[in-house]
Amino acid sequence: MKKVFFAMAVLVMAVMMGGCAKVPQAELDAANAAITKAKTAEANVYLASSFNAIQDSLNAINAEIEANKGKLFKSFSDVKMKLSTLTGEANNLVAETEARKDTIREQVTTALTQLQSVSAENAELVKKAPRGKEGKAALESIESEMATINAAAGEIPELLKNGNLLEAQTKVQAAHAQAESINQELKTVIEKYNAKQHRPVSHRPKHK
Amino acid sequence: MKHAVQALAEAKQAEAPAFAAAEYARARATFAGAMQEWEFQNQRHFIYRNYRSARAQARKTVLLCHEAGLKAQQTKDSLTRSVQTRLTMLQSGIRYFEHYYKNLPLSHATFDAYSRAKLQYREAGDSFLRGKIREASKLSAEAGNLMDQASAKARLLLESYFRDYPLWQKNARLARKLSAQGQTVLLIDKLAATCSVLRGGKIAEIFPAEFGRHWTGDKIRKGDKATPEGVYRIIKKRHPGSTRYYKSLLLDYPNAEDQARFAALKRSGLLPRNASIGGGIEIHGEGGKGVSWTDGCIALANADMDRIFRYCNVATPVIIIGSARSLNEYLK
Repeated sequence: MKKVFFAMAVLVMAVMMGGCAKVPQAELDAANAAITKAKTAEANVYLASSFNAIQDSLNAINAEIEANKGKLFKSFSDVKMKLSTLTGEANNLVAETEARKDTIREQVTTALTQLQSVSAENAELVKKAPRGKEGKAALESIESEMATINAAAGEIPELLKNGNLLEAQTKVQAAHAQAESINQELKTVIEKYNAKQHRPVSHRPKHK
Repeated sequence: MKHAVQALAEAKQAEAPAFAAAEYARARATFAGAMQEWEFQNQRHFIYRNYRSARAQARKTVLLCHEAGLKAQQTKDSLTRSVQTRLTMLQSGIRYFEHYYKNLPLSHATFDAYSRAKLQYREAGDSFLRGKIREASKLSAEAGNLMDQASAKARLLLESYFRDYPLWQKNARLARKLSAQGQTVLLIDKLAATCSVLRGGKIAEIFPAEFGRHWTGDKIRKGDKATPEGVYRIIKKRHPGSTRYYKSLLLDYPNAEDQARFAALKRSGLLPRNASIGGGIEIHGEGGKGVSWTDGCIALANADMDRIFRYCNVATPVIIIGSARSLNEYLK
């Protein structure tokens, strides 16, 4: 009886050890697949620090797996749980990345609309541009800048279409800021010119 | 091995993949080797396992990560300084261009290069502020190239323009001498865009003036839209109604020098046979547009034209020079 009992205990222990002793390959594969999916979704570009954190976690889990494999009494239950959590995080990251991309697309589209509006205003302001030296506006240079801004604005829809969202964002922000700068310059100069409009244009040189 | 994993994460945080790519790749390869060795040893019977090599590679990984992190920091700092310097130089270059070159009749291509440089400078600045140093470096380098192109062309135009400076100095002295002798003289300075009234050897009044589209050239022929340079006289005063430009003072262009030069250019074949020297160069009103727009005439605002008209008579000398200041004085 004692022998039977002892044998059964050893058998149970062996089963238990065997059940927990296998590397959670399915969970590992699922985690790797989820990370690959997140990379395909460009999480490494748009949510780089979160993506890096997940990759670092996977490295740590792999090390833990090897550490467990070297033990006499292996247990991968903790690793299994971590892999499952990691897979969930990686899957969430895909959704978060898409949301981030949508936000950027929206920001770029709004900025582009604002840019087009300012550019249109600038085109009107140039027509009213100061008539006279007081304006100090090199109209040709301003018109050249406006043409460059329009060209940059023209590139943005293509960049959005091709998924170059960050490049589109940089471009539209810079173009918008430049257009605003021209807008301010023209308005200041027109205001200054209007204030001086009825003053005599000629002036005497300063005596040294 | 835990330390190796942590070291890799820290090196990544320090942007080693971007700024010390080779060193980081070595660290990763060593870590991969350590993991492989570890896995291999784990597959052996526990009696035969030897983790010495795996541990050594893990320790080496930590060392390599540390080196990669340091290198990344150094590279990033160096690149950051370099980009900052480039952006500062670009800013100066743009200001310089706006001050000295923007009002020159530059080609469309030159203005285009300048405009694109300015926009890319802004993009580079934005990238720099967001910590995207490599992107800022690329954009600022491109902006720098465009700015160099535009500035070189503008400088060339300016230097070419100032080739006649000795003659302008001579004519400016003549203007002062004639006015000191009791005549009212008009001295036109194309670069300063002014029409000055000289009396008693001194400038009595200055008016803003506008010229032909290609004002940086001396007038050679009809249709070149250049304002001539040289010593002229008023030969006719046109009152309102007899000119479409409010009032005008007709000059005796082409003078003898203009004619001699024109004839020489035709003989040498540099001008086509059917080229005409042109004429009808006036000082007239309807100016004040802020741009060079005439076909070669000198335009003033109507109120200024009223004053000039009062000061001048037929035979009043009108001396047109490229610049009263030398190139160095202009660029100070």
